[in-house]
Amino acid sequence: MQDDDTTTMARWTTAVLLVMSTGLGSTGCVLVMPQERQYLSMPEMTPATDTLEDMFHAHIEAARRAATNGHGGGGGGCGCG
Amino acid sequence: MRAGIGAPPSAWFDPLRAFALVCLAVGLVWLAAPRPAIAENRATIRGNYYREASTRVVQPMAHITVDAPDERLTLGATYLLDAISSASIASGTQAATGGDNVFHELRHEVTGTAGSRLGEWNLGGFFRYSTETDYLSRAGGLSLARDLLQRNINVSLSYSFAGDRWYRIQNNTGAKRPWCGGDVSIDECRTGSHGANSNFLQVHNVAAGYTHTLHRTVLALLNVSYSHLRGPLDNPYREGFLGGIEETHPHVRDRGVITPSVRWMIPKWRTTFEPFYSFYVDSWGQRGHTPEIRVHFRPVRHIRLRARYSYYKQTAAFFYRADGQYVDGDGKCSRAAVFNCATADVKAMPWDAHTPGIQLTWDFDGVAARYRALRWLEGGFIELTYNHLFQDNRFGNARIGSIALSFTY
Repeated sequence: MQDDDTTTMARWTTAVLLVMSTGLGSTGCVLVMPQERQYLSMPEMTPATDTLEDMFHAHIEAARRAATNGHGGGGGGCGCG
Repeated sequence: MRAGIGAPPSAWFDPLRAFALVCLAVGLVWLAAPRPAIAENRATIRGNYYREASTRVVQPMAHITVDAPDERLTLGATYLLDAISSASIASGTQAATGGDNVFHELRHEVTGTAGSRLGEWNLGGFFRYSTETDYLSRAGGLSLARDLLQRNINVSLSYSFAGDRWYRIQNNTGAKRPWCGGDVSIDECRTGSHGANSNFLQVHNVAAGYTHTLHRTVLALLNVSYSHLRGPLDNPYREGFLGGIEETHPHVRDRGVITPSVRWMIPKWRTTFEPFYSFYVDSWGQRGHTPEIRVHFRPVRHIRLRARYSYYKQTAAFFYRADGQYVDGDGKCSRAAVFNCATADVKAMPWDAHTPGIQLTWDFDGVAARYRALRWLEGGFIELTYNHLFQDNRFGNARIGSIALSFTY
């Protein structure tokens, strides 16, 4: 990557980590016990629920968009773009 | 299928062998692991649909997972078919195929997965094989995840490798020739190897994930992904857009994505908010921003509604020219020799898009509990999704729909 791209990526990563660490710092000591996880186990709180839907969206995005949006590596797409 | 297609992508990495080794390792650890009680086998069929002015994709998919016999070893298999219909002018194939016809393409993809939950550890592996008339892809990957602090924190790391082979269908004859990129003569292009004059595209991807339970109703997630691509990265059929010049892109691309997100449920409102933001940057000078908000709502216990809105914006690649005036260079395309580059790829252009969408999911647990004869539906659901894509590029707006039906057995 070019230096300015690397710098941009590093800057964004740092900013995100700072925001998240601030959030985690303020709540990180909260320990949710197994008996308190009934809401966390619901499908809308479970990222794995969207796996198959994300597969299709990733395939469309690979043929149309520059950005991968975090779905994973490229390749395997159709050459119909 | 030609003998050359069946050759291994490279001598130093065989995804199939790696996948078999993972299965063996998981099996050995499984024998020694304590026996948990959780087991669920699931079968899902799914139909996806994508439609824009010039292209239609219909994609039936079948997905099955089996706990053998419990979560210490979960095996999965997915088969999907991409049925693509595209008008040749818009898809750029006119010059190569010799006519303004609608062409049809079928892509078959098979994926095998193996996963194992051993106490606080999750191990996983996959192998994927995808084939279509002019493109072949093999990919394999491994993942490792660990729960910490009574599952309040989860960290994960994964690596995947894809080895793809590009081909080009020649003028109306149907002859298939390897494609090594616009800056390599088609007569000098080889298959069955890797390197400069090869049609082999390799993709290495490393991804790390972090999930933190901030509260009994709040999850914070962070995913970081890096990919290195090496090989032909341009399309063999776009010379019609470029006045007879072959599309020519650099042969190397590094891509990075960072995606923080939050899931926050408000039980009293039966509502969950899911904002996320994805930032993308690559070595072609492109950046992408994707903020998205999803709102999940349960009007009744077993019905889930989800509304989403996503905005997407990307900048141009360093070699893109807004005036479309490219010259027919005779060397490699790079930052130092940008005059050798040519593109008609929407992926290299600046544009943005808005995507509103809605999803309805009906969990069958309610009817399974009420009617004895329907008890077999427990754990099943039906899911309907529609997204409308307003995109500011030559493809125009698009409709994306899907229907999924899932059962446990």
